[in-house]
Amino acid sequence: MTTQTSTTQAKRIDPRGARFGAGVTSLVLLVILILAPSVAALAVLGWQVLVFAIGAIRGPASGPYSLLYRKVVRPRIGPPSETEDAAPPRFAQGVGLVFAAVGLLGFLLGADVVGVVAVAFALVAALLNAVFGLCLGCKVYVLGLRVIRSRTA
Amino acid sequence: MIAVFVTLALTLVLGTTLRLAQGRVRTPRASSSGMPHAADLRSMGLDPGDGGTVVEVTTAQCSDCESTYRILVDAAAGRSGVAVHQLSAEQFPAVLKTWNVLQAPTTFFFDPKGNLVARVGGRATRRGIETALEGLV
Repeated sequence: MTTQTSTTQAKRIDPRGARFGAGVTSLVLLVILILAPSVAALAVLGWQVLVFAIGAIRGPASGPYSLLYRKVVRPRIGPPSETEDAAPPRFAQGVGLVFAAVGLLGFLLGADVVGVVAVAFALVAALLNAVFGLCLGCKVYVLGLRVIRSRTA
Repeated sequence: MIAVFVTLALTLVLGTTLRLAQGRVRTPRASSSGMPHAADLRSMGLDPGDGGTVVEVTTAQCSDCESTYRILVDAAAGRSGVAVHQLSAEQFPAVLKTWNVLQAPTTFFFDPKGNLVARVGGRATRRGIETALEGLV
């Protein structure tokens, strides 16, 4: 019935863990915006860049927020009723990494406006995920696919 | 501090708007040109069903495609001859333009004659899918 082919066995994650991670990420990014521009904001942003990088490279279940979820939250709420494909949240971590890195670079080079705007974009995406369960990166991906593929076609 | 409030307000508006648009069942206007037709499916290797055809356009980076597909299969199981397919946008990127797909999943409902009767953008609800399936008969 299905025409979707997957060559490798897809990794599965607990969707509640990803949602929890988005919540923690939102709080961290919010703190950065409140503290910015300052050395403290720079330090916290550096940390978040690292977190995004781990999530994008090793998968969303490898990051520190996911670890926190598995150690503290999950034992209290039990196993998930269903699991999710790890690819979309991993992609989202990559999108977050790009915005956070641009923000970090902005603050480091003294372009505070660039830093604030980039972090604000990352915050919007993280909050949409945490509060509304929406994956902004997934939506942008479709539009990107549409533009790129129609150009090469 | 202003940046914080602007960002939060923007997120609230954007989130509410996107959330409300998720799963809305839209009926295409009759006799509009260039409408998706089930005849397009055979060229993409999909067999139309005798009782109608449901096609979910998916991507590799889609958080709601799986859950929507589960509901589609479950809801269609109660109706005879309805075929349910997933169509990968990476494999068939042309459908994004020709079927005007702006988000994944976008689900299309074709009646037994192959005419498009409904489309649902984003995460679908059980009730929305049932409504769309009613339109197939």
